[in-house]
Amino acid sequence: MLRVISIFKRDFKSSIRDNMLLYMMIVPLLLALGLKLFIPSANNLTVKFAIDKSLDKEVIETFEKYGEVELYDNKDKIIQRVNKMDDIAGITLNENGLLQAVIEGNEQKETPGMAKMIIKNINRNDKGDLNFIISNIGYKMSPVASIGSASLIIVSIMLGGMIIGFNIIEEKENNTLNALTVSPMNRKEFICGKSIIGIIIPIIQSLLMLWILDLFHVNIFMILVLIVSSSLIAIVLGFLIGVLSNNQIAGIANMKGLMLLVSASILGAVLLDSSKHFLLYWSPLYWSFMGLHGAILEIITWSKVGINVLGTLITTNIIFLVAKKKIRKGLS
Amino acid sequence: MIIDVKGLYHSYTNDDNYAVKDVNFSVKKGEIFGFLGPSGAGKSTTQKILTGLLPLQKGKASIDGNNVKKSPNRLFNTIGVSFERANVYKKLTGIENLEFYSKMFNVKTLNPLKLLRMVGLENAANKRAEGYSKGMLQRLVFVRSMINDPKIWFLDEPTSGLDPTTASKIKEIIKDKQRKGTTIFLTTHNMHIAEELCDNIALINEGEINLIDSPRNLKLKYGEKLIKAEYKINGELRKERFSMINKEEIDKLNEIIKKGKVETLHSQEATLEEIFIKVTGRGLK
Repeated sequence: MLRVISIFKRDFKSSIRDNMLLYMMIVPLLLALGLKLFIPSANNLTVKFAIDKSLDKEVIETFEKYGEVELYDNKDKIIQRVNKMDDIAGITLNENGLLQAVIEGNEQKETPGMAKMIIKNINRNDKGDLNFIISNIGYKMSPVASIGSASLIIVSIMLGGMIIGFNIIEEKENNTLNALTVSPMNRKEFICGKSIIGIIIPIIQSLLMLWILDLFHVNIFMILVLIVSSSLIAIVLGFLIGVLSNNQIAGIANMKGLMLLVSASILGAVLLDSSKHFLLYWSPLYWSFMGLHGAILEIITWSKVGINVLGTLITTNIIFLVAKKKIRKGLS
Repeated sequence: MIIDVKGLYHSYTNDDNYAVKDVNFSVKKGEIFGFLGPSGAGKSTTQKILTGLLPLQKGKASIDGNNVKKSPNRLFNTIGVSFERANVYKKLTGIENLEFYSKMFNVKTLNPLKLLRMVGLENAANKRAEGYSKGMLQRLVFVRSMINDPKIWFLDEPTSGLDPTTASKIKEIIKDKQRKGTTIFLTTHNMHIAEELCDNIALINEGEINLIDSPRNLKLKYGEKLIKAEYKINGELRKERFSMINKEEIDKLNEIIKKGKVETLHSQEATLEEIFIKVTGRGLK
């Protein structure tokens, strides 16, 4: 076990000292930040209001009927809250003691529109309910946010595999495998040690991405199960790229080919009609994506997760059996 | 015998084109056994088979009583291998390389810094290996092979690319290890290091061992005793080598000495390279 951990620690140390591998570790987080920046409220379509605590209880209750209400002590705190990334309308009183909406300006049109209508309704003292309905198709999140988040997790899983591949290329370039072969370390320890980074890095990256995207309310355990099962295909492909590439340039070329497979699986899952999804059943990444997408949307049950994990494992196993001989030969 | 090799063959192309053929030798415990031959003679192939880097295709080979074909991993706790090519992790520092490698063993390992100090790398201990010169890398590989304090030590061209002072330091370390009981299998094309360090030498050429003996015996058996003389004749300085087994040449030298024309006189032995050429018809380069 000590040897396995030592191999993992060496690989990690070496990876963070390699600009390209360091970039691979950081890029999913940067993409998540991008997703967060360019899609305000990507994670939630519920209209939210930041309301001054001192307002009438009746006013607060009125807003509670139409959306989520957050209470704040004063106008400054409300402005601070409105300035944050997501969509929220601030509700406070102006100098004349009338209700006013405080908005940032980049919100989706429903948020300020609804706030204005509710205020108008309260000011008119109209007892009737507003005719303002936001409907969705059962998802609590915009497709961009859910597909984007699931895709980023898949990308981080695949990059974990690539880090394994590039560490193997490093061993080949430096001929250090020979030095390890004449030590008591055995092949299983080598494979396990090399594989750890392909599981740990995507887990850490995914947790950070979920945090960045305000998605920590999803079932994290479910996500972790899906990441670990999906990591196996990344590990197999990482080893394959490692043994097939004699240098980093060849590794990059092979990685590009692999990313086509990733893109095809995700795009197919998103764009194809569900009746044609059987065309993607061969791809472990299809199963991974479907599971992760469902988990992020919180519409998947554990039994469905089980099916996705099983699909990932079966297809991974088939790919492993095809690649096994090549990997074994390349490592000897 | 701590290393025993019988009828060893190896073909990289899996046909009758053998890189080593019918190689037989044995190494006694505590001996420095040299494999002397030019590049491509089969030295490294033999070493790679013995250390498990190449499969044993044909023949028998054992190390410390273990058949190399199915030698247990724990055997490597007692073996050290220094490679000719500096195969270290370039992104790790010198000390990190040694610390990482030490974790691969199940036995008590030597202090990495102490090892680096032995070869003058203590000041570069925390420098990444990618910034090391060729000689520094060679020294790092050399001390890495000592980390488990091996009982059997395989050295492939250990002084290649080193300056004379460092090479001398390395030779001293090798001798010291032998004094402590380590068996050393040394492959080299450098006749000086072979002559200086080895108890026995195998001359290998084109995959076959031509001779195995001690350097002294080889010289006695195949070397010609010579006298190198510088003398003046008609005011002109001449340099000439005289064989001490050829009567005509002995007489000629005596004549020169009698006439008092000799300026310098040196006895000369045949070098291992000369013996190698004599036996194989090929140089050591």
